[in-house]
Amino acid sequence: MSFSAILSVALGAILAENFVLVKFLGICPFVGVSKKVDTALGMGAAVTAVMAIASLFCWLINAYVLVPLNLEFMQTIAYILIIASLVQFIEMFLQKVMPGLYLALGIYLPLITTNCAVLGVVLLNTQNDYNLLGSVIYGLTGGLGFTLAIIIFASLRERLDLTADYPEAFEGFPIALVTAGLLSLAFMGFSGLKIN
Amino acid sequence: MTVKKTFLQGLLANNPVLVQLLGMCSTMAISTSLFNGVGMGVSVLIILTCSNVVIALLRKIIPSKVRIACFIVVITGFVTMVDLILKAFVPALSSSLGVFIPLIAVNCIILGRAEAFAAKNTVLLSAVDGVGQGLGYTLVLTLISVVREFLGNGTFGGGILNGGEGFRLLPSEYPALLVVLPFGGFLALGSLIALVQYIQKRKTRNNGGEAIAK
Amino acid sequence: MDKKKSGLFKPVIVLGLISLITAGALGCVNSVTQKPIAELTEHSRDNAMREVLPADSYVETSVSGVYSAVVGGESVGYVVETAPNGFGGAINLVTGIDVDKITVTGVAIISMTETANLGTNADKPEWRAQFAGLSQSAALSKDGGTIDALTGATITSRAIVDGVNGALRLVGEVS
Repeated sequence: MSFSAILSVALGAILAENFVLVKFLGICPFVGVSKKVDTALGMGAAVTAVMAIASLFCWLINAYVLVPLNLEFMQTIAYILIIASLVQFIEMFLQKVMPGLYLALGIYLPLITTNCAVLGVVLLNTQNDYNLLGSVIYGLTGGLGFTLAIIIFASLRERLDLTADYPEAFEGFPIALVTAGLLSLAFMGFSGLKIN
Repeated sequence: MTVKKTFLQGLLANNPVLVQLLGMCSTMAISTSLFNGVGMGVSVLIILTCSNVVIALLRKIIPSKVRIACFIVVITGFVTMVDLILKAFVPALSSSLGVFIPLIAVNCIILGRAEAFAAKNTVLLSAVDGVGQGLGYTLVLTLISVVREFLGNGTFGGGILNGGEGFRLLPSEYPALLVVLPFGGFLALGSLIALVQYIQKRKTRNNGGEAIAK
Repeated sequence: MDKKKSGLFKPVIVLGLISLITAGALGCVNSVTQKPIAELTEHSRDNAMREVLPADSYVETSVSGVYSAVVGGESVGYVVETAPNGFGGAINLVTGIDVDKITVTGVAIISMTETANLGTNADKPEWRAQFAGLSQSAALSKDGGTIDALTGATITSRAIVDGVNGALRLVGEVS
């Protein structure tokens, strides 16, 4: 992959094809863990790490185990097991090394396993036929895009709680979705971006 | 819990999307045509029912320590089967839903029902729960799809009726494409949930203290 | 001691067994669906090739993905397979190119996973017709070229433009 190709993958994953706002991947944690900017940042960091590392391992397993053995139909199941074990490992690591962050993320960590952004990125890596470097870059920048979106969204929601005036029926989830929709509209503006 | 009550729970009172707020990614992402909505809904219905049955069967064998891992393996197995079968026999649907078919594996509805229902109930009830919840999901998905397709594309039944073109209800210069874009997905689901909350609030107000006591 | 052992082993064994059974079941399903899937892919590939550049047969050239279209023993042009990345994954594309190696005769899509009613509009013949007769590298009109992007599906449109340009590049490598 050339440098410009990598740059264009990265820019796409962060802005124009943002995982959450444009591709609709990872909506659950996006809405669930975005009440406060701090936790949103932690969640974003954890998801980014898992997405990048999962991209690496899944690529290796696919290229050196599944493809040679003609077991491509086992991709989904293999990927999901890799992701589940990775999350378990990161959880144990955080518990020992950064107990503060572990407590803050609490119940959300196991949820990363069922975060469709993570499984989505490794499936798209395979579908798009990215090489090892491309996959890791796509995973990393996809995670950064998720982090960017969730932080913007969390800051919006913090303000929304304080000042906004909206119909009672929209309280909680619906107003969050409408806000996310407006944010996604803003991100659509990036779809003209292109690197030659 | 009776069979009938379990079934109705999924359809309305405990609807997976509108009340439990699960499975939102796919709900918003693929609800741009009737074909997509029904196809995705039925796929989830089948996978959910199968995985509920198997998990209810195995619920006494599976040790609680590794239960989530076991659930995931069972669910992903069914997802892959459906994925392969669609690819072989309904290729149009498979290409239209794309990566969202394998992503059913991490759809919170299925894991959620496995953990909250199938792991604690009999095989029969779990099967009924699977069908009820699956139908509830299909209904919501179809409703959003029809509305978005009508407003955003001006047609009904695109991808399946009238040779795949759908029936044109609005002249092609009127529809607002915005509704088919991601923005429309967020807006449609947000409004629908707001409507449900509005109805719930009115009911509570009308019933007064009675509802609170409940 | 024994209790501890069984407490550790049982979960692993159960999980292993479940995984094995699942894998076996998947293998069975796969053996049934493998052939129809391969046939379908082959069929739609063949149709796409015939659409962009009708010929008696398509012969592989020295460049992978480039086929020479042969009518009555003589090459009438090339069909090139490319797979640019669209919005929802790779778009498998066939581009027909004249013997002069610069004129595009047509573009057809073998398979794609784009959003219904947005990206999938790329398969409409009217839109694809814009590529036919093109004798330079393609570009969207918003990038200074001649191809009008699909409304609301810039990413898909751009991917197909990239695919066509890739095909032109590949044909240039054929000796």
